[in-house]
Amino acid sequence: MIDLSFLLLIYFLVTSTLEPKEADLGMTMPTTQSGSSAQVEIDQMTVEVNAAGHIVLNDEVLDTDPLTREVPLLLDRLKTYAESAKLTDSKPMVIIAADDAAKGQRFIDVLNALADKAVGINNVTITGFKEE
Amino acid sequence: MPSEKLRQASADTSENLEMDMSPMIDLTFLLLIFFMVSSHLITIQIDRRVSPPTALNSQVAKFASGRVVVNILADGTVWAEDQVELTTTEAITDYVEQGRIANDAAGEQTRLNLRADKEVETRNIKKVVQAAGEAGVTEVIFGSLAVEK
Repeated sequence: MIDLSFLLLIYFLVTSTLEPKEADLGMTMPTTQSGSSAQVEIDQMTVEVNAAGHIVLNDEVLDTDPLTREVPLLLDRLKTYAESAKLTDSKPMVIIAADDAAKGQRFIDVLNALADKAVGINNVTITGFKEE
Repeated sequence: MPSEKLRQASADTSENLEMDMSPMIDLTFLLLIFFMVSSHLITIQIDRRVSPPTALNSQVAKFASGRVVVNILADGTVWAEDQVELTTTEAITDYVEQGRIANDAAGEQTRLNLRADKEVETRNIKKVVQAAGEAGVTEVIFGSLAVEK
């Protein structure tokens, strides 16, 4: 019975460390309810992700390697944007325009950059919905 | 009539019929601790067919209440938490709306927990987010791994 209990203990120890825990990446779509009308609106920022996984901002291609999880150029722009929003006491808002054929991981990379501690923008929306 | 050997054996054991309880107590404590720990963990049903994308800034969740889980597999098919395939946009909207109504009744804020495979095309993510929006759910949580696999 001691054998069995050790076996169980080892089994649970191993299984709990092997599997990486799934985590959350939050995003709040803006609603039509205007609760924070007191705040000044800032120009929203549109980040494009094209089919090849390149990140485009105002027709300027920023990060082009879809195989890496780092987006340093985008992160830099987002930091500037978040700071300017802070200075003007307005609520930053980012629109992600991802191509239909872009990979989900690339889309998550952009969200990941938005969730960075130095940026911290969670007011995000997606465009490019199909009209029905 | 029992044999001599058998009688001897039974006579021997009848003298010390004490059971050693300590291993059983050990095991009981082990189980107790295990269930104490696991009861605090978040219980959402995880679809093993989805391999979530990596996002280093994602946070390990502290609570699981109010979640409506939708899985998107690498081939683009959409599945509910209980392994039922949602074939149409209307089915997704219905499923999310049912979850929202149940959460409203329980006084919980509903959030869509979207577990999309990293290989999935963004059109499928947009489809589900739009369907959830039509069901009145605007908060979206993307399932991701906080470590590089």
